Amino acid sequence: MLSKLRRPRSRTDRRDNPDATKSIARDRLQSAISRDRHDLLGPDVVEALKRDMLAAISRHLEISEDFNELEVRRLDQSLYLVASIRIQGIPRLARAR
Amino acid sequence: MKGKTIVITSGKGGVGKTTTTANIGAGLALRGHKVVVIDTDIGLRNLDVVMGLENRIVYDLVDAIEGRCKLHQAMIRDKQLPELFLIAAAQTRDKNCINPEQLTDLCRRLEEEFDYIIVDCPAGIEQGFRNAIGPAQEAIVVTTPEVSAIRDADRVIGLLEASELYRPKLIINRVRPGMVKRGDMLDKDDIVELLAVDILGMVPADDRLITATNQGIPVIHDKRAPSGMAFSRITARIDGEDIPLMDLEPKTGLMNKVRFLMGIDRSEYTHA
Repeated sequence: MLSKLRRPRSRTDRRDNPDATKSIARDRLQSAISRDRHDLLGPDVVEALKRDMLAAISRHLEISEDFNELEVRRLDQSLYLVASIRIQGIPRLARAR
Repeated sequence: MKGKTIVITSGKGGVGKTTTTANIGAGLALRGHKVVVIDTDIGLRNLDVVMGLENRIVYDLVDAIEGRCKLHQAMIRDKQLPELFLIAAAQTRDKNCINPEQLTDLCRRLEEEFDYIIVDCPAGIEQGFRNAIGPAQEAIVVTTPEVSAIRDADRVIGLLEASELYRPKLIINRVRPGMVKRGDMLDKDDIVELLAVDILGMVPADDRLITATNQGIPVIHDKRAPSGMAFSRITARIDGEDIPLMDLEPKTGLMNKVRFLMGIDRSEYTHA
């Protein structure tokens, strides 16, 4: 009870409270939610992305129709979109720049 | 008349879906609307006891869907509010005995006659969830400021959006402002940022809600209950009123501290 009364009063004190557990909860949730969303990222989403990327890149470069690799990969706490696409040719216009 | 069907869902059980449904239903009826609340938790019904109508059930949702009674016979009039009706879940059946199309058909019929149809969704993401979200034009997600409830809310929001219920609105239930202030509870900004949704309101943890529920009376009828006031504001927002969101503030002042420490007043907040 005494420790309750002695607790620092001002807002800033509390915000800097090193024992506050809120930030632990937030960080754990952030990583759990991102992992869940990653796990639930369906192959249809990756396929749609592949289609759109193919269309966008083809406006600038000649690339092979089949991506060698396109996936969402987890490294440490972050997610990366990893793609490896072989360029078949660079159009004349692009070279002129 | 063309009513609106809103589903109250959460993913995780025990976060307050049924209590929220009862209070939003009562709140909308208090505002003069004709309202039906539907318990879709077939096999584990509870909206009836929360509303104090458990002794009045003759026919239930499944009876109405399977044609054993007329739709009106399955509608139980509220004790306090004559424009509020409950359709109870069947207790001796399971979630698989109805499908989303049947519930959607039932709600479309109710929309002809009522302003709001509030659907209380069961916990989980299986058949019961799919049934409940079928007829909805809007969705409200209830969570508490705990990691398990928030994570499940994220999952449910994803499923709602996959079912074209975009931009569900969030209610954060059982907020304890004292803990938020100490930095020991996730606050609304943390939760909104994690879930990336709009917030409809916050409801403080409140002893008066428990005593009201003990008596089968939605706490919105208790004018002194902080949770009841929160539900009033939430209902007004659902009804299109632009009421600003206020932070729940812990009680301050020496006398409140003394009352709290003496155990006279166990609530840790003032009204917001």
